[in-house]
Amino acid sequence: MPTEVFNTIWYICVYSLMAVPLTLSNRVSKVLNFAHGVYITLGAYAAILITAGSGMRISPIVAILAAFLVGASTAVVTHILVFSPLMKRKSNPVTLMIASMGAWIFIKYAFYALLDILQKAWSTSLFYATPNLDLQGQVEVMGFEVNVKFLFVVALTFLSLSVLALFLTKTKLGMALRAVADNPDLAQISGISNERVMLITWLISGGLAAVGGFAWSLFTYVSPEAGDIVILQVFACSVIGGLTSLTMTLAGSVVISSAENLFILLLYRYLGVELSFRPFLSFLVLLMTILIRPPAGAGGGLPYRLRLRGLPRKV
Amino acid sequence: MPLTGELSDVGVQWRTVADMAKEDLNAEIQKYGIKAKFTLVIQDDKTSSTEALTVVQTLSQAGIKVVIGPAASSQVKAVKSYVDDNKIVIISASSTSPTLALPDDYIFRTVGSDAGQAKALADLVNSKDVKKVIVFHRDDEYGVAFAQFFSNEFSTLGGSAIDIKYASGLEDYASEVAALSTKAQQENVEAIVIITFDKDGVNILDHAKDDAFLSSRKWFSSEGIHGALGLTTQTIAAFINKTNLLGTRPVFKENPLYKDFSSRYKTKAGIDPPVFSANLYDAIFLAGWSILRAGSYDGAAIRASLTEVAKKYYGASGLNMFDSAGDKMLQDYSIWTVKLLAGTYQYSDIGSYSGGTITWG
Repeated sequence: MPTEVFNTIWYICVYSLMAVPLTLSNRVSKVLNFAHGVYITLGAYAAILITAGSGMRISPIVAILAAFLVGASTAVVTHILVFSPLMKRKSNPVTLMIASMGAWIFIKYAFYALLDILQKAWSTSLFYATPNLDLQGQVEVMGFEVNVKFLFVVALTFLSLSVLALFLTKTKLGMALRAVADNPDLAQISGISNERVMLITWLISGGLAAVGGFAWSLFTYVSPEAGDIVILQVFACSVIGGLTSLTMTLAGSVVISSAENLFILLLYRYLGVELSFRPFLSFLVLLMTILIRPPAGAGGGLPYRLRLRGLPRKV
Repeated sequence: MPLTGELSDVGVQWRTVADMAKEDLNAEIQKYGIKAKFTLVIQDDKTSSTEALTVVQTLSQAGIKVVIGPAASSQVKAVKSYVDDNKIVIISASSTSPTLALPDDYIFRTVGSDAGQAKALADLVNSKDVKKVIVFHRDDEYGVAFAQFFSNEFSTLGGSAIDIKYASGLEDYASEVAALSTKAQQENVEAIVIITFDKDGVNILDHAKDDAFLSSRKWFSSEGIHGALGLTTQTIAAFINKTNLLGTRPVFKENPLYKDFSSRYKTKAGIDPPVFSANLYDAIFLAGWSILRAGSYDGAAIRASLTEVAKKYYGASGLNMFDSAGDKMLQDYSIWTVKLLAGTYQYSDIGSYSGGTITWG
């Protein structure tokens, strides 16, 4: 199997792990969360800091749990300190978005300071690193040499997204989440605690994004800018999902990953398009998506109107 | 200084060099009985062109007339018109793009332009009996100019070079490396020549090592990646040894002043100094002495004094005399790789290039 196909699948796994929680948090809390990138970065660094600090190899399960914990707690704390007080004051979504930018900058640079201190204390390079895991070697799958890390990440993505899907459709709490997303007032009347649902949402959203960051750190070396550099692509995937539909977000990550790994190579090989055009290609796709199927509430995205029965209608 | 961003691996190491230079400079001034003391104001320009301009403007507003840096050619280009208008002397120890070799400006560079290094690299590749290569380079001021000069020099030697450029500043280059592999197989090239900075270079080698065809080619590099910490990790160093990766860098290692500087740096930092360290060390000394000999802390006066001071200044990076474009006139190169020394992988200079001849060892 050519490298391009492998890369595409890697990217699909990583982008979907990062974009699906973004769509989820936006759908439930109505906050366009710019701090989402730091959840990714912190998740990417959780395992790195453990292995660098202890100097040992750790099991990948421990790494995933560490990443999830770090992301989930950061998201929950951000909600308690930043979003919740503003929501109680009935702030509009734009204010919440700007507040999320403030949280993003604060957390990012606090983390930079922490890395700097740790780098000196442990005398190892931390600004560009990858975790040292018990996950080495190749196996043979259907006649191809496949990296164990690749199989691990594919399994991780499949399991995480399946668990999330089951949670949202089959459990009481999951259905409560969707109720609050569609119609917060009605949900409140039927006895669902909005605040509790918000906390669960941020927990899942931050945790899953962090796991996405961890998956990214297995693919390539990460820096503290990792979350911010991929965040634009991640937003692109979510926007293709209209910022509300999780399945369409998944489709979005397939589209963007293919654009970055397959389309650009096809364009390069057959049309002579320069490789340095790659970053523009994904945004071209994003732009076309916004023009054809705008996200909810932006200039009248009709298919999504039907799903958002409870939201105030925009004229 | 690029303390964060794509050149941050070497940027952080350069900081140690700068502190060393300041201490040594002040000590030397004391010996001459001059009652002056230099301090360094260090700012992070994030390896970004826009940030470099902001930093230079901030320093200028604080009354500073001599700035050492910025590091990258794209950054030097970004600050050029501002410093020329405001008479701020810029001494870059690592900008090497031949496109910035312009006379009558306030930009001085204590390192020879890549016009010379491109020839050195072309000679090196040719000496290994390689005739067909792909030049995989950054799409910026440094990468594009170097690639072009390399291709020209390599053609004169009878070789052919295919050009592939990649967008700089991205987080990951998996698809670019996949395209490189496909093209390399298609054209059946013998070697890959990379022109990168630290972060992108490490990322590219990290992906290349997983590619069977690329691992079977010979690899060559410019000085851009030198000093990146990722190259001394087990997996990437193994790839470097497998492909016999050789690079050039502007340093004359047989210079006794360089040997002294290098061993003192190693005592402080534990590893050999990365690329451009000696050039940075000399840049700070040149700045200090030009300011003292200028008679006044004024941009134009310091510029005139700098040209005179540099003419007779033989430092850790050799003779610092500038040519008419304000760039170092005479530059020798060394050939480097990554080797296992005393149990760890380290950068190692294994040859020298001077006046068109390669000397190994």
